[in-house]
Amino acid sequence: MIRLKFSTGLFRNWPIFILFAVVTAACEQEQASHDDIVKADLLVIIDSLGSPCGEVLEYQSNSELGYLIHCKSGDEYLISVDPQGRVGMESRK
Amino acid sequence: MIRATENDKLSYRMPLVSRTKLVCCLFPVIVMAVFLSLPVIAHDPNAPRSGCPPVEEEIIDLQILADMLANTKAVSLFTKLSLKKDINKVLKRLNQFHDGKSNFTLEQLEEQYNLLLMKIAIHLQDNDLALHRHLCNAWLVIWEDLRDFDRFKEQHS
Repeated sequence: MIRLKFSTGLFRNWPIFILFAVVTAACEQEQASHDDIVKADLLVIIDSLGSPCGEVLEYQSNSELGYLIHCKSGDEYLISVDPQGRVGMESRK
Repeated sequence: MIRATENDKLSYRMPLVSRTKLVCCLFPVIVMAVFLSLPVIAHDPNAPRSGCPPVEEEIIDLQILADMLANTKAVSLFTKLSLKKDINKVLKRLNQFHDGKSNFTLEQLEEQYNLLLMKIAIHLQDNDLALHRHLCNAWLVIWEDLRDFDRFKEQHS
């Protein structure tokens, strides 16, 4: 009869695995507010365009698909979408 | 004693001058009311996505866009996985909205959708122009399908 030894090898840390699985599953449950989602998305956009930000402190939606963003780094950016669907960003610092 | 008969009352007519004045006064009001009730027809040439380059075949589904995104060489594997996860999140939130279980309003979901497409567009606009053209043209079309309960359930159930 095969007996798994939970006290040795890989299974020695099984409580940690279970805790990790529970925490991961809990994180999958979406709790973020709309404001948090927009800030996170704007940070990804700024990062993708290769500019520093650190964290989006606040933003103003100033037109259709246009945002004025204030970053933790002190930078200010204006993100907009042009008529050809290109996303552009200009620094306001 | 002279009493006005019913015929006398009915036979009263507004003087012609008064009628003309009344029409002249009401005319601008009527014109203004009609003008304000019309939808905005004027097209702003600088509005976002108003000048998308034409494509032969339009993408009409976010899932098709996700599939085309998976096949492009313009985006790294890690970014593809991240964007795919974001697409699924937006679809999940929309599904919850249509099931009446969402904490977000339709306007908030539209903003989240627009930000998702902006994130995708950044990766395509310099590296895969063909797919970027598809994205630009499909931007509003896909949203119209996502916001509509019947069309959403038809495509995503």
